[in-house]
Amino acid sequence: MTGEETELVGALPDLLPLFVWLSPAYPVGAFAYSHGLEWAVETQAIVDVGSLIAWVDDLLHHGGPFADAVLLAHAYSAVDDQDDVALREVLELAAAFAPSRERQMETLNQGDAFIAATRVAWPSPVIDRLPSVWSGRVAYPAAVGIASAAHALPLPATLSAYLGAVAANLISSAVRLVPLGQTDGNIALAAATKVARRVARRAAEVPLVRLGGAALASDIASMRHETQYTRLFRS
Amino acid sequence: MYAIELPSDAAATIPVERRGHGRILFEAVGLGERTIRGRIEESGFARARFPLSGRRRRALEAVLINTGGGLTGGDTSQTIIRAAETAQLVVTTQAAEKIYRSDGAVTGIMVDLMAQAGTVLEWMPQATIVFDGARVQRSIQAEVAGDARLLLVEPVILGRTARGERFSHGELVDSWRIRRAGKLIFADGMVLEGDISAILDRRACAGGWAAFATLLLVAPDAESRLDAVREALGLPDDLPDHLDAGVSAWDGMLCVRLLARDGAPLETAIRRAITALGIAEVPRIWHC
Repeated sequence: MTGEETELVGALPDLLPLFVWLSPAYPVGAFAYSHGLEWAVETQAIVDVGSLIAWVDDLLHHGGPFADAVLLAHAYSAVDDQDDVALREVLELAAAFAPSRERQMETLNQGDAFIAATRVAWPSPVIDRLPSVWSGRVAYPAAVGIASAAHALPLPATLSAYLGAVAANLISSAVRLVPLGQTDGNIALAAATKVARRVARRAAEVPLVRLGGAALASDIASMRHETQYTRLFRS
Repeated sequence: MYAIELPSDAAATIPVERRGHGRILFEAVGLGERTIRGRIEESGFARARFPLSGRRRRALEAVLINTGGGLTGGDTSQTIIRAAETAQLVVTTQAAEKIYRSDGAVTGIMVDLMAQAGTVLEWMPQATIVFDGARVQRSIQAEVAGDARLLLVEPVILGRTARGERFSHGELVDSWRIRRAGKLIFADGMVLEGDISAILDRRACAGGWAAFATLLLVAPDAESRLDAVREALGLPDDLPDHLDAGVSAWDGMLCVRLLARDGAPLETAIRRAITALGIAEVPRIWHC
């Protein structure tokens, strides 16, 4: 057993809220968004399990999910440090950091829904006083980071769980769109889990001035999805 | 041990004290039916010229010149531009900006734009060409008044593609922060480091292509231009070869992302997009 696994097992009871918040059943509507993947299937950039694993790997390393993990880490730290100025800065940046209309909608709709659900079911003074810090909408990764810090959950596990959940949602949409069998979906999930753990560690170190990635084709896919003729997903 | 120093190795041998620092600040002010120059400060390699051939209607065209002929590691370039009192200002550059290979030091580029109430500011430099081994960190920030109009067009070409060069190692960090009436409305970031060829080859990244551009229009009526720009680029399903493009509009903004195999299809697409906006023209110096 590696040191990292020992740490996770030791902290296991604390991770239960993450299982709930990042499960597909949590009422943020994640199933409705594909982050432009629906267009990637349309153009046959994703045709089988191999190309799906590659696309998800690209996004976890260089795409929106990576930048979101960086934003999550900064939101978490701002709450942990009780630094309202830093928290406001992260929330403002996270809400504006989107290359297209659908990508902004995807993150803000899920973020607002996450805050609404969590405020009621998992109350915390941090979430209650959020409107006094930031009056705008809340991006999804920032919302998860705030809730995680408010409930004293560990950041590394939160980042891994967040990236894993985002990857699972992408894979689930591809399984329906390509379509792929459940076995292929599970193979893709297992591959993404390993990547998520590694990428989580890297994302925690990135300063906000270096926020970004290189997934230009994914950004364009989200724009072209807006005029896609037949669509199952909202992004 | 002896080695013959080739001109292309010059960047590695430039002492720190000879590295260039260029700074330019200028203001344009609307005056009746014209736009005139306000305060201008130039230092280092940075100069601004205002060719009469660039004048069109009320707009003033400024052409920025880097007298150093490019940027290398350790160089810094700072450009501060203010459009005030109904000014209509177009800013471009005399030539493509070359970022040479670095010996480790970072090239810093800072662009700071302000479009005050009632003004139009168009920032349309020619392409930035990033040589293999370059290390560049660029920051573009802008502040736009609620009723002002800001157009940003920034083409980037990775490697000297005409000679088969790829941008395979080095660093590129590009950070955009655009505020309207004090509120952050658009933020974007590009980070390339490590095994850059392998990153660019990834399908969700650049699919092996080497040229990209972002065009951003911030204006009260920006969203109304969405269909025209899409059509001009061949969207949704008539794109030219060697080009991928997307256009989106939201919250008083229109954003175009272009990804192209190299500079030629990129420039064609940029020209079409600018023209299709119906409110801006490609700067005349681009034709030279």
